Amino acid sequence: MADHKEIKLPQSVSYSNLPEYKDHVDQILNSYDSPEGVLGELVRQMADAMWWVKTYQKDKDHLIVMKMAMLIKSRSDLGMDAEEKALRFFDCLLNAWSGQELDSEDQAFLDDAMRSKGHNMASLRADAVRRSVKELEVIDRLIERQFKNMRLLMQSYESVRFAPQLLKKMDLEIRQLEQGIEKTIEDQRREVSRQ
Amino acid sequence: MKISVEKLVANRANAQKSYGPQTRAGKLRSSKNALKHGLGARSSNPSQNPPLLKHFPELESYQQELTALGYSDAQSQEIIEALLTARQVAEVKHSAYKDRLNEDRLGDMTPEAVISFVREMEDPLSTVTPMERTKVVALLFKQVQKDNDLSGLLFEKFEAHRKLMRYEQRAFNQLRKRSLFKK
Repeated sequence: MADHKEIKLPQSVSYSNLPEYKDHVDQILNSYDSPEGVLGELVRQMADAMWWVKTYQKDKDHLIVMKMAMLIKSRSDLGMDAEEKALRFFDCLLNAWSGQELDSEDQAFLDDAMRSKGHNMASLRADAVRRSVKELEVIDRLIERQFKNMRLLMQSYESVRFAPQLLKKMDLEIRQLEQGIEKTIEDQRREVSRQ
Repeated sequence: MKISVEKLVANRANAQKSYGPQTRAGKLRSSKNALKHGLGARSSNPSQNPPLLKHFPELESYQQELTALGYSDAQSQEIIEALLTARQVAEVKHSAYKDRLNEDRLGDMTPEAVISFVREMEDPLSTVTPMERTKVVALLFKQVQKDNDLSGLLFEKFEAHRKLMRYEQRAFNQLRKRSLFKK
């Protein structure tokens, strides 16, 4: 089979090694006055959840644009040309949708393809979203999960942060209880001695 | 470069001839073949899993910190375990969010091309029935379509994360519960 193409999907790099990931985490840590130890660990995990929200949102958009590209790609195209064409559509559509101006060649390439399928930009996007409802639901659930994670981490952060104050408060309560009991015992003693 | 249908079929046919692992070491290795990320199986207790402590050395100092904050030894230990599990989940998520490599994809082709490839590979003495051949062709073509749907390929990494959601939920709920200051 003659198929020697290399598609240019985003590279397989672990996000945690990406410089922008590290910058993002540092930025969040700074906004929390750079805590260390357990609190630092919790803030790093919160930053991670925020990172995923951003990543999912960006990739969700890419998924819709890729779906749009696949919809205008001709069914008769096969092999290397088809994939290259789809990736070129993807680039053009992504740029057009994000408001960037396309050069005349790309614009004509895109317009021809959309016209041949009876679409304009809005109808193509609507069709792509309609056909990706299930996938988009999964992505939305993933985003929602990250917000829940953030809330849970925030609660853990508050618990650990305020643990010394709680400890002091509890210590005070215990001391008050002890004093109360001591007073009762003293009162009992006095009662007994009076009798 | 993507794998060809011939290579895929030949690999699978050769795999059928294997007698499986023979040595103890091989058996031990293959016993972990089905292990995907270990989040559901492994205990995250650092004392029960010393390599993890090696991987996250700072967690030991966290326990001292928590004890100094007023948590009991037992609760500090519990919080550390939960922190460790949450971090493991995060690491698995990062490594799972990847695009499939081109080597793991079949090339784009029509159903007729799949049929002709299957025919080419067939032994003249083969006893494969037309029904069986149709099934193989249908399966291969389904895979061809899946491997060449670029939006589907983009979705695969989301799907990997969807499978990890229950572990995330459990890890962060546990962390919150365990870090509540107990009277």
